[in-house]
Formats: sequence, C-alpha cells, structure tokens
Amino acid sequence: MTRVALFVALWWLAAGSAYALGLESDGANTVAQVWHWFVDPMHWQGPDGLPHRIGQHIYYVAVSTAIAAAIALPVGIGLGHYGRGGLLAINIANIGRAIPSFGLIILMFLLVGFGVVPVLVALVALAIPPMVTNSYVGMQSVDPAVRQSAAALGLTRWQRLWQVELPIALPLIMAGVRTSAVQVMSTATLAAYVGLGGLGRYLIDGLAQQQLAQVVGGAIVVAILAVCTEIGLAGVQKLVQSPGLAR
Amino acid sequence: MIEFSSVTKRFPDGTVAVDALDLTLATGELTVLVGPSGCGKTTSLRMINRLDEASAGTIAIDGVDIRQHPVTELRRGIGYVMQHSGLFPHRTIGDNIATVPRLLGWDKKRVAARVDELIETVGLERDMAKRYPHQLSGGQQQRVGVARALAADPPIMLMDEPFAAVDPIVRKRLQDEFLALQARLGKTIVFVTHDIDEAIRLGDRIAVFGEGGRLAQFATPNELLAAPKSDFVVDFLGAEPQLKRLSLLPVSAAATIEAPLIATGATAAEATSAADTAATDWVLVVDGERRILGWHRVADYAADTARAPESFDAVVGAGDTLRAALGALVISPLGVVARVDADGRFGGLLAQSSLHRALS
Repeated sequence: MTRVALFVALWWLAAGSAYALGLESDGANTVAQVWHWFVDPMHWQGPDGLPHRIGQHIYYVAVSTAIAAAIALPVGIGLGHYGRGGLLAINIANIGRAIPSFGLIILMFLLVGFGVVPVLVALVALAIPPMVTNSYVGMQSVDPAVRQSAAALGLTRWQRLWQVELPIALPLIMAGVRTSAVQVMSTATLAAYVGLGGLGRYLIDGLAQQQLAQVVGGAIVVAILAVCTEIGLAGVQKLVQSPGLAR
Repeated sequence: MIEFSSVTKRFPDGTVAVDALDLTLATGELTVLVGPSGCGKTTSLRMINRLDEASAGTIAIDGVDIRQHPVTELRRGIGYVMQHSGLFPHRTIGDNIATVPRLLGWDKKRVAARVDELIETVGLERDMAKRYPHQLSGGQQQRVGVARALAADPPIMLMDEPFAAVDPIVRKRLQDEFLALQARLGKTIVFVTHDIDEAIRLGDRIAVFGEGGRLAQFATPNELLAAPKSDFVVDFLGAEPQLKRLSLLPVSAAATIEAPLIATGATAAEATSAADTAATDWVLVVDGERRILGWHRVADYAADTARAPESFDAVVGAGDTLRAALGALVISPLGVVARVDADGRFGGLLAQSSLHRALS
C-alpha cells in the first residue's frame, strides 16, 4: 500500500513540477513522448544512456547509505543498549534532518570543489537521522524482562547484544535503513547539480532543454528504483528477521 | 546452603532496600521470601545471582563468597524464573530452553536430548519446541521459563513471583505441578511472592520481610501461623490463621475418636452397645470390606433392624487437608467426618475435638 502511494506521489510530483515549470504537455501526447524516449536505443547506450546513469545513481546511493549506516547504526545501537544519551542523539540527528540537502551540496561544493565528496556528504547527512533514531528506539523497545533474563541466564554483555537485543531490535533498525535508502535514492538526483551523473541528469538536462519526456522518463526511473529499494530491503529483512517477531 | 551475613543494599538515591540481613537458606529446601511491596524481598533474591550487588555484607553459597567467581559463571549455575517469563521472542521454545546448555558448550545431541526431556518435565507437548513464545499462553510461557531455568540442572533456583501473572486456576495448577516437581528434584529454591497464601502453600520455610528491608520472622509455615512474633506478622498473615494452619495439615495428622461401628445385619443389642461405648445415639454401618453404607439412630435401629440406613457423605481421604475435613464437618448432621483410604475403606472418625488437638 505504502509502495503504491510512494509511486503515485513521485509520479505526481514529477508531472506536477513539469507543468509548474511551463513545459509543454498535452495528456496523451506526453505518454507517447515518454514512451518513445524509453524505447529510443540511443537512451540505452553510452555515458548518457540509462544503464550507465542508473549505475552511477545506485553507486552514489549505495556508498552514501553504507557510510551513513557505518556511522549511525553503532551510535544508535550503542546508545540504545546503554540507555543513555538517546534524547540528545535523536535531537542532534533531527537537526541534521532540518538541513536542506541542496544547500549542503552547494556549501560542500564551495568548500571542496568538484567531485563526489559534496554529494556524498549531503546524502550521508540525510541518511543518518532515520537510522540513528530507529536503531535507538529499536534497542530501547526490547522488553526489560527479556534483557534481564538474558543477564540472569549468564550471557555476557556482548552475547546479550548480539544474540538477544540486536535480533529483537532488527525490525525497527531495518525500518530506519529502508527509510534512509529510499530518501537517498530520490535525493541523489541532486548530484547532477554539481556536474555529476546519475539520474538527476535527465531531470536537469530535460528542464534546461525543455524536454518533458526526458524529465518524466528520469523521474519514472528514480521512482521505480526507490520502490525496488524498498521491496528489496523488505525482502532482505524478511530473510534475516526471526519469524518469532512477526505478529 | 545460601548464607546472607549482614547484607545491606542501599540504592544510589539513598533508599535502603535490605538492612543488615542475616539469613541462612537450607540446601534442598524451598524458602519463600514474602512481604509487602518495597520490603526488599526481590532485591534480596536478585543479590544472590548479583543482578543487584550488595552494598555491604557477604552472600555465600556453600561457604564460597559469590563474588569469588566471574558473574556469568555464577549465573549459569543458578536457575532464574521471573514473573513475565522473559523468554526470548526471536527464538523457538526449544532454543530458549537450550540457552544455558549452549553457553556451557554442551554438544548438540546432549542439548537436544535435554530440551526434549525438559519440555515433558514441565508438562508441555514435544512439538512445541518448534514454536515461538508469542504462540503460547501465559501459563505455557511460565512452564517454558521454568524449563529454561532447569536446563543445565542448577542446584539453586531463584523464582521471582513466577506465578503472579497467570489467572488463579492456572496458578493453582502450576503450583501443584511445581510442588510435585520439587518433591522429585529437591532443588534449593528461593521463591519470592507477595501472596501469603502462596507462601504457606509452597514454602518449607518462610522469611517474612517487614518495611525497610528487615526480616520480621523466619520459620516454617506452621510455626509462623501458630506463633507469629509481632503484630506486623499477624497483620500480614491475614484473617483466619488457624484455617490456614488446617490447610497445611493432612487428615492423617489428626487423632481419631471412638467410632460406633456395626456390620450389616447386626442385632439391636450390638448397636446399642457400640453407641454406648462411643457415647453417641447413632451408629455407622459398614460392609464386610469396611466400606461405609450409612448410619442409623440407635432408637430407630432397635425398633426396626431391617430399615435402610441414612446416607453418610461426610468423608475425606487420608491425603486431604484438615481444612477439607473442617468443610465436611460443618455440613455433617452428626458432627463427625469419616476418614477413608483410597479404596473407600473406613479409617477412623474425626470430630471438632480432633481438629482442635491437631492445632494445639
């Protein structure tokens, strides 16, 4: 249900902004244009082709989500395990959420110049808050009776963390990862603004060249990738999560 | 043997949960720690496996200070059951039970065999091993909690209000099964409850805690009810301490009175003589196997020895409690209760005086 809603929202956003920007469009014709854009063999090869752009896009997303996870999960999990400093961490993470990604990219671009770093910094900053918050909340939601019985049975702190608390917190931790990855997937289009590739190119170039088909086509691919990310991660979660937690 | 020597627990906020506790819990006995909430009974229990650390004093198990071994090692040797089972929701029942044996490095075969054995010991079906905790009822979860605590066969079990969260009918059944289990296993058990009736039912010995973490009295249930040391203990024991004592004593503990017994077809003279000897105006009729057939007023029997006897329902088994005997006594028209064996054969007659003597 959420996935369908997400898809519709992205479609609406893409189409809606196209109208707002004054691009030419007249219903059925748009669909035909987009269709032609997709089936044109020119768009499936070379450095401007869809496979290459999709590859770049996924690369930005994968690297920034991985870096963000490497920072955010240990922090959220550690704080949740010890039950201290959680509010502080969540508040700091939420301030991070308030920073506009676009502004951050431009700022980092001014500071370090061209390259992939400004984009990664902005995407990592975007991905961290949901993961910190969710992993903290996930660890805190482990039933105190369960924590206590784990200690009473003679599990060491490390065993309690790995064998009891993390598996139980996993659904919420994964929810954070999914939220972050989907957000990053759509926001990675900003990379094109600072001269990088990815699917954002179609949006920016399409707007500059007044080519609605390109803008909509790019937006559709981003939307599909976002939905696939969500479905793929949900599948991974289903594989690693204990059936005992499914209620 | 678990020995508390001048053990005090002071929490960081200054509250004293346990104050200079001296208490020795005997090996193989079920000791109940009971008292109102905030009296330090649970803290005392938790200090034994160091879930709470004593602020002062020492706790020793069989003469060895519990701080001499690494804490995880200590805990693996002590079973722990709590009010909410604390089962791991992400692990199957079998894996939950296997927790401590696996920590101790048992091989797979031995673990599997032990899990199978324990599931049956606590009265569950073997196919439950594959299920997850949320698929079980509260009572079943408590059974699994007990099985998990027993898994590595620890000599000591700590039980923190294990039956408090289940409904009264299930609780009664779990208590009965638990008593039967303990009779077989003979563990050293420390059992915390706030329910004095549960304490009386289960405990070999009861430690009553008062406000401020002080021990108010430490005695067997019968001693406690017969001779409470202070007004606090009297209050805590609640109404009808004598009735509670009756519920502790088996029917076999009470002395029987002289019974006016006659066989079927006895003569009027035999009946009169039996009634005279027992100083009653009625006789009890038994068959050749000494099974009770009923009763007659002597006068009626003398007039017509062929008449059918009145029915006699006030019987108790030898294993019943004196409280059950009292229940039968109050509705008995003759003011007596007959004790019968498992085959229904007459074993003696109890009157109110029998109960009185059993209590004094």
